[in-house]
Order: sequence, then structure tokens, then C-alpha cells
Amino acid sequence: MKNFFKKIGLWFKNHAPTKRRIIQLYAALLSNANIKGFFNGQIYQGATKNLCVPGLNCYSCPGAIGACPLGSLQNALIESKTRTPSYIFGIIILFGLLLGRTICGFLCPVGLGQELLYKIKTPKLKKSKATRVLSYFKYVLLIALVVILPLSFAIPGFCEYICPAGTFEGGLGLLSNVKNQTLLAVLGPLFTWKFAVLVAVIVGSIFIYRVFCRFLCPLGALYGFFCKLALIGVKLDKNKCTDCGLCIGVCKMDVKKVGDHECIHCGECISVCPAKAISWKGSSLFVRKNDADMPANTEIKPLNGMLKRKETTTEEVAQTLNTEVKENE
Amino acid sequence: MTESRKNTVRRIYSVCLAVWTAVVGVAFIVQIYSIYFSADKYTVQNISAHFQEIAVLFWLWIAGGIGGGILGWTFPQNKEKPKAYIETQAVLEKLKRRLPANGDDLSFVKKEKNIRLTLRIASAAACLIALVVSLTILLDKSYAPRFGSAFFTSHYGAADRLLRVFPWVLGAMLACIGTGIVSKYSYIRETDGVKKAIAENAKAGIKTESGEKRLTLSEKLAAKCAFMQTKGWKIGVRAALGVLGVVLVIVGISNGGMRDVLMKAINICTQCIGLG
Repeated sequence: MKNFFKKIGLWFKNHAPTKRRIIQLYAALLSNANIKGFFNGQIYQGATKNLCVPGLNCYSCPGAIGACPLGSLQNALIESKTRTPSYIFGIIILFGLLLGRTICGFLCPVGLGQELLYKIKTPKLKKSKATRVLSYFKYVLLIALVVILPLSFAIPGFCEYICPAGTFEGGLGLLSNVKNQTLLAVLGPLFTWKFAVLVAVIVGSIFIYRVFCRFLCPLGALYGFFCKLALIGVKLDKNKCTDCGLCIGVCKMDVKKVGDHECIHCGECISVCPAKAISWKGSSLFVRKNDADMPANTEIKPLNGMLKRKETTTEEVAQTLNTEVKENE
Repeated sequence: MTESRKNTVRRIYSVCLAVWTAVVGVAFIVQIYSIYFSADKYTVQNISAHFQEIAVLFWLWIAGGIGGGILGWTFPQNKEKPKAYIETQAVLEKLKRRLPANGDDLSFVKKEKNIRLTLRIASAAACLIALVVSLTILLDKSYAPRFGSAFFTSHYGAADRLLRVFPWVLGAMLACIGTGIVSKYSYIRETDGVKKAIAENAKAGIKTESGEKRLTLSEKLAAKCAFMQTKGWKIGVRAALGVLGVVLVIVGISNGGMRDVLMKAINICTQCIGLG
């Protein structure tokens, strides 16, 4: 019996959420903090909806306390004949400049949902040339559905035909409440199509890591333009980099190099880099004495859930690197 | 239980769960379409009746997921050691530096290069054609939808247009994916050839020391734009963008853009729900 509880304790210890997961959970809860809305079936109508949340979060979700940047952008483009869409452009520039795609990795509720679904133990489709080409499909969607359709036909194309966050949070969130049964009468082919898209995205997320973020999300595509300029994210020290390829190997996104437009700055590559060439941008400002400042021959080993530093000799590091290179060859 | 047996159990379980997941997903899509095509459409009774048909499938899937958790707890899996991901292209470039003139005068190198170039030109042409056709369909004001239903004819036949654009985009994507896959094998063939050439050179006593790295086009461009990587330049661009962002937000607040966002956000967005 004692062993059983010990085993349970060990399991919880090994599966303790990471700091990133905790931030993701807090961000998802903060974006949907209007818990009352889920019970009364009404959406929040307070002043905070003047502002956009950084991640993809439908403003028709009963819990949403902010506006969706992508939905707002499409609507601003629809209204652009009467009013310059400067407000939402400004918001997106500021979000992109400050966080870039770190938003995808840390703050987006849709990303969190997909990561949790990916934990279901099924065979996974790993990244390849094909997925890398497919990752450019989100730019096609950005141009066609987020720019051309709103500007030419006054239709928020992405919200209307694709957005699974809208169907799940807005659609199912409202329809699941008995007080909104009248809405059922007006559901038609569009809802049927969007529900099918939602199911496809959910099933896809179980087999493919962040299937929506990688192939379909125009907001991620937009934030990707700020990859070189964002103030927060991971950075690569080219002088320390040995081109061993471990960082790209451990990354599940379609990145070509650390910090490019596909990188969601989750920071998983930091711990695997044997040369300690990857670190957080501005880490000297907001993180205590960062690993980036440690000498290359310092190894970090997880012990009892805590990170403890162990000094290793340069020869040991060189030996490990040589073995890895040989294994790869 | 031995590790290999544990692995077999894990593998069988994960494949079964994968098949079951796909079945449940298809069942949900079939049910939603059967609700839509039924006479009652979306009524509480109709929805309940349809989803009750797949309730057993769904709950079994949930049980399977929980079972997986228990399985993972009973037979904990060792964490995989991260493997390096090095592009075949990068390996090839490194190897070619050990050949005279970077192996450019070898016939098989020329052949593989030509194959890749032809494929790239073909896929670029496919993308261009898809782009032109798609834009023509999307921007054509006199467009008449082919399908008669409300879904296809509403909003200037936008759904109908997208449906017509989709095969072109899909075709272009498939052309690019095909090019990527064929190129990968072309690189592998070339790498094998280069390895043989290096071995032959070594036998013949020709020096095979790694030469200077030859810059690719993108690396040459990056070298020319090296000033953009400097700290000063980055700070300047960031400051300019930051100021632009703040100015745009202030202009947006004053011209009513912020109010538009609020008005859209405090009313139920029918498009997001799927009402159109």
C-alpha cells in the first residue's frame, strides 16, 4: 500500500505542469474570466472588450472578457471604407513587437487545447518536408480569408468559414446553455460545415502537434512577421552554436532555425542545447543570472523536479558531442 | 514484463486508440450532417437522438484515453533522447567542400541539380497559376455561383468561390510537397554519389580536406544585409514600430475604431457561431 502511494506521488512529481503550462492555463482563464456568462448564457458586455486579447479567443464566448484580434481585424477591414482600421493595426503591431509568436506558445487558449489533445497516446505524425510546405497554407488563408474577403465582399471569411475557436467557444459555448435554445432554430449549413471543421481540427490535434497553429492560423502567420523584432522570445547565439541540430530535432514545429517565423518560443530547445547557445531574449533583465551566462561546459540535470547545475569538463562535453555526431551519421 | 513486451503493449494500444479516434471523429461529422439533412434540423430532440446513437462510441473513446493514462502509469516509458535534425542539404554541402571545385564538375551532381531546378520552376509556375486563377475568381464582381443553395449564394457566393479556389490552392500545395519530397531523394542520391567520389579521391591520393564554406544565395543576401542584424538597427526599427503602434492606437481611439471593436465584441458574432 505504501508503495502504491509512493508510486502515485512519483507519477504526480514527474507529471507536474511546467511553468509554461501554468502560464498557458492562467492566460486561458484570464481571457475567459467571465465565468458567470457560462451559467446565464450571456456574453460579457463590459468596457474591457474595447481591448483585444493577444491570443485567438472568440469574443462571442460567454466567458470572453476581451475582443479577438483576428475577428476585430477582419471587421475593421470590412469597415475600412468608412474608417481607417488604425486601432487594430496598432494593437497587432504592439503585440507583435512585444511578444511575437511567444503569444502562440504561452498565451493562446487554442494552442493550449491542442497541446493537451496531443498528449493522448496515439501514433504521431512528425514534421517533414510535407508539413513544412503545408505550414505556408496559413499565409494563403491570411490573404484570402482575412484580407481579400473582408475588403472585397465585406465578409469576415476566417470567422465565418474556418475558425474552430468561434465554433467551440462561441457556438457551442452559447448553444450548450438552455437559455439560448432559440439560436438552434437558425442554425444551418454554415454551422454544420464549421462543426465538421472543428471535429477535424480536434482529431488532427491528437495526431499532429498544434495542427491548427501550424497550418491554419492566420494570427500566428501575422505574429510570425515580427519574429526578428519581438522583445520576448528565444534567441540563438551564433558564436556558441555548433550546428548539431538537436534544437531543431527536439522542436515539434516546422522551424528551420531557432527563432524563425514558425518558432512559438516555447523554450524546449534551451535545455537540450549542449553548447548553451539558446537563451531567452532580454534574459539578463527579467530572469536571474541566466543559463546563457553560464560557461559552455556547464550541464543542467533535472533532479527531484529541480534544476541543479553540475560542472562537467570540456573533454566530457566534447565526448558527448562526438558520440551524438557519430550516432547521427 | 520485459521492455520489448511493454513496448508492444503500448504500440497495440496506441494504434487501437488512433483508429478509434478517427472512427469517433467521422461519426461526429456524419451525425452533424445527418442532423442537418433530417426533416427536424437543429432541435434539441433531434440533436439528442442523433448524438445518442454515437454515445457508446464516444464514451468508449474516453475510457480508452483514461486507460492509456493508467497504462502509462503502470508501464512508464523512458524519455526519448532528443535526436538531431540535420537537413540532407546541409550534410551534402559540407561533404561537397571536400571535393575539388565543390564537385560542381561531376556529371551526377549536374544531373541532380537540373532535376531539382526543373521541379522548383514547375512548382513555382503551379503556384503562380493558382494565385492568378484564385485572385480572378475571388475578385470577379460579375461572378455567378454554380450552386443554388442559400449557403453557396449568400454573400456574393463567397462559399462557392472558395470551393472553386480550393482545388487550385490544393494543386499548388501538392506540387510544392511533391517537389520537396523528390528533392529530398535527389539530395540523398547526390550525397551517396559524393561520398563515393570522396572515397575514390582518397584512394587516388587527392586531398579531401574540407574547403571553405560556399555561401548560398540567402546567406549572401544575409551577409549584404548584415547591418540589419546590428543592435542599433534593431533598436531603431523596434522604436519606430513601437511609436507607429502607439500612434495608430491613439488615432484608432479618436476615430472610433476602438468603439467599433467594442460594438462587435459585446454583441453575439453570428459569423463566429456559424449563423452566417
